[in-house]
Amino acid sequence: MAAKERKSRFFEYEERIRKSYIELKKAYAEVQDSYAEMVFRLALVAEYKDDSTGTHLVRIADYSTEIARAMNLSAKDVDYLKYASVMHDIGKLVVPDSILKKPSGLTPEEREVIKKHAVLGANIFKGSRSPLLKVAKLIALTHHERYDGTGYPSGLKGKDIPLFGRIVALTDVFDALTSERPYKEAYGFDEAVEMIRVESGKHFDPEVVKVFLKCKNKIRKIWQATKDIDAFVKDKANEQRIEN
Amino acid sequence: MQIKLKDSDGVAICCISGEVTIDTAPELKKTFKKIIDNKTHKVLLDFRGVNYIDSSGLASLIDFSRNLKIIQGMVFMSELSPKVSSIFSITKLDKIFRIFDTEEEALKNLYGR
Ligand SMILES: [Fe+2]
Ligand SMILES: [Fe+2]
Repeated sequence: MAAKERKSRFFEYEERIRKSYIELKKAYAEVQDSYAEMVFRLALVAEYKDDSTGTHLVRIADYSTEIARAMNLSAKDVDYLKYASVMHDIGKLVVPDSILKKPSGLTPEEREVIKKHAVLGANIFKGSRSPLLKVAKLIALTHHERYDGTGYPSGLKGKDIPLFGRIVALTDVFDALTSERPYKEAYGFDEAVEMIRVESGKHFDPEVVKVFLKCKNKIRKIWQATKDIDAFVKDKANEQRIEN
Repeated sequence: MQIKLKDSDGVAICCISGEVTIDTAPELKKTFKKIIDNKTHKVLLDFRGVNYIDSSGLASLIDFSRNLKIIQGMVFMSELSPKVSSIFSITKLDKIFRIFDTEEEALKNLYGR
């Protein structure tokens, strides 16, 4: 075979490999994308069960991402946290509606059943070898632990609680405080920030609280943005009701 | 995030790519302001290249659609990735914004108005 011909054949192979690499990369991105979609849609089903909203999920993801970045976590860990935090309450899928949707007056037994959502959520991911689902398992299991050891399900204390769990513990509570529920009004932004601050070292990790306070401006932006989304959706729903 | 703006028979097509987030949304807002200042009434946001949008990104879309409405304009969106479209669904914005599978479909609807 002439040297020239060999060379052109080489380029042809190289081109073919390059093309299939691009196709593979595209297919991989598509799989990743669908995976993330499933995460969001599945998490939403769990939130519907106790009348939480979808913006709650977006907020948890955004707040947690912001704190993780400010704590200098690796880009990969930030990404895991972003998607895994959305699934923190996935265990509610297996808690009966009759208890979750009870407007008030839960018995101590019923309260215990609700608390089970942490372990139940972790069980959903048990045995998974996916790094993302491992993080999801940690967060589902530990997002109700408290820094001073008085949380559930295990009463873990301080740094024994995984960092991902310590972050979501704060963002989940902060979001609950600033959200309106059928049984309570929402606290204002500054009031809620103050409530988080006084729990430093008690409910929350002082380091996470410190970073949260440092990011206050960005947290406020996220809070405002999702308020805008909720108001817009509500307005439009009202408009449609009037039209019909 | 990158933004490319082009005109197609009076429709401003805005091709966005990358991540639309709290850090990049201000830039998107600038582009939106430019479109409004140009008095362009028909806008198509091509989301083909967008792989993530956060709450600030969504809020900037809301802001834009409000401002467009004031000048009797309208914005359509097309080619959302599965992930991005699920973010629109969980915030219920998918029921409010006019979203099309393809750019072609969106343009056909926009030209007809
Ligand atoms: Fe929970
Ligand atoms: Fe929650």
